[in-house]
This record gives sequence, structure tokens and C-alpha cells, in this order.
Amino acid sequence: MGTQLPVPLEKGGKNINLSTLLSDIFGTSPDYDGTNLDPNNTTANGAYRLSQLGVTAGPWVEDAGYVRLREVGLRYNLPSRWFNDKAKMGRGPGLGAGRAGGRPGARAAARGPGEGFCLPAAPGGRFWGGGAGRGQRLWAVPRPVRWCEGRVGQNRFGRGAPLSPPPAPPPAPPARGPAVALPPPPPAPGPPVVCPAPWGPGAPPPARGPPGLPPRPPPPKAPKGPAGPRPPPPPPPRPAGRGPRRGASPRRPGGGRDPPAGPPPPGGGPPPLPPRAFRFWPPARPF
Amino acid sequence: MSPRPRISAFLPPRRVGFSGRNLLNFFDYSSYDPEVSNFGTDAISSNVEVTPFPSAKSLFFTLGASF
Repeated sequence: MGTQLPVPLEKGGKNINLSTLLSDIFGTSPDYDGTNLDPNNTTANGAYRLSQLGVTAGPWVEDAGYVRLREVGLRYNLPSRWFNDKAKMGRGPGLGAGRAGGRPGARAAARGPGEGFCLPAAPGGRFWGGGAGRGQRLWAVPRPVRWCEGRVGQNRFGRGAPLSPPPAPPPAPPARGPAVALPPPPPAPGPPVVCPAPWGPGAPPPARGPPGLPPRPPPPKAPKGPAGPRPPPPPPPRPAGRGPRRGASPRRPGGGRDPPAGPPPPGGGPPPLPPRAFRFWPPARPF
Repeated sequence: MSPRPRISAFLPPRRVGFSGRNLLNFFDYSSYDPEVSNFGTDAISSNVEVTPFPSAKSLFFTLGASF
């Protein structure tokens, strides 16, 4: 908040007001017919002043003192908390300090070792006043790290848990341009990957195989007792010959939820997630 | 190289303000403004008024945003 109040004052100055002389000549002075100037009180003001023309300039000399408010200003910095949700930008530790207000979203679609790592909504430090970052943050707020694809099991900032793909391509943010609009995820190749069996032994899994295949019989129950390890649950039925390829994307397009913890199916399944040492890998590079 | 994202045109103003010039002037003078100098600001030529133009009043409303 700031104010400024220059108030100049001039006292005792005199002006010679030749505007009055001109208006006297043409008979249009405002006080032409007044009677407060002539000491003899016989002539009107205009006629009196013109009678002094060529004798003295005194009738046109006026006091020019003044006091004026030349400039006044009032400024107020709005509280920054009013804009906490709109004008700040999240910035992660790995984006490189050399680029203020970078485009985090642009890295998600980049080719190379960093492909598939999710970049927006970084939980790192936040700063104010980034150049393009505000616009980025404005629409990136409602889209957190779900916007990952590819090797989503480990996003760049170590949120850890496998992330599900977005259920539908979100509408492109209006008036953002192609720089920040991430392309929608490509359609998943092949049939949906069946999640590992969350069903315990005894409960038959729902039939997901091709039509005509009878559901598998429930496995024989193990005798209850402390002795003997529990047999692993049966692998879920899959379409014949269409299991998930090794190295395929661990996204689960049909599920949308992370699989519950359990022994991995022996027939394949999502590859193990990369270790956490890759949390900030690859290092930031210039766009 | 993609183009840089555009700055939003709807950034909220961080700084608001008002300022003005020549808003008030108190004098006893039979013209618009006693602070006149039709023939320059030299000591010999100042304070002469020949039908000047009145000094303008100015109002400024400020919205500031830093980005």
C-alpha cells in the first residue's frame, strides 16, 4: 500500500492576466460591468481597466498564490492468499532451476528416456511469479498426477503408487495452445488385461474367458491347519494366446483401480515397478 | 519446439490503485489556473497569462499483475 501527496504551494506571486485585457477589449470580461475597481466608484470595471491601458498594468496584475493537490495516489497490494489457487505454480525438484516457469506438461510427451514419466502437479517447492507457469497451473490444478501414461508405476516425483489412466480423454483446456495440452493417451493395444486374482481359493472367479469356455472349477481346498503352506491361488482365466506381452504397458485400461496386494499370477501380469531409485530420473534437461 | 503457452488474459490483479493529477486547486485568481507561464519558465517571462488552456485533471485507475 502506498500513497503519494505532493501538495505544492505558492504564496505571494503575481500574474499579469492579459486574458482579462483581451476580454476587456472585446467587452466580454465576466466582471466588465462590475463596480469594485474604480476608486472614484464612477466607472465600471471593464471601462476602468481600459482607461488604464497605456498608463499602468496594475488593473491586470493579480495575486497568483495557490495551493493545489498536484498528484495523489493510492495503491494497494491485494493479499496473496486471495490467489492461492489460481496464480501459483507447482514446481518439482527435478525440473531444473534454470527455467523459471517451465512447461512441466511438455515433458510428459517427450521422447526419450523420460517418456512416460508424469510431470505436472509436482509436490515440490512452489514459487510465485513464474512466466508461463501461471497459465499452466490454472488448468493443471484439477488434473493431478493421474495424467500419466506409459510407465506410470513411478511418477517422477515419487508418489509411488501405480496410477490408473484417466477414464476418458479430458477436454482440452480452452485457450491454452498445444504447448500445454497433453495428447490423449493412445488406445490400449489388445484386450484388457485381467487383474490378478483377488478372489480367494474357493470363490470361483467370474467368467471372463471367451464365450463357450466353462469357468474353471474351484481348486481343492487345502486342509486347514498350521502345517503346510497355502497353495497359491489359481491364475485367472485369460483369452487363449493373448496374454500381456512382456514389457507392455502396465496400465490397466479396463480396471482403473490398482490391483489388490497378492501373489502375482504365474502366467505373466504387469512387470514389476522400477525401483524408487529412479524417482528423479532422468535428470532435467532443457526443453 | 512447441510455442510457449500463452499467458492467461484473466490473471487476477495483484495490485490495484488509484491516482490523479490536478484534482484540487485553491486560488483566488480570475482565470483557470494561476500556475501559468505563456512565454516560458524564465524569470523574466513567467507569470504572464494570455488565454491559456486550462490544466487537465487526470484520473488513473491501476491494475497491476506480475508474471
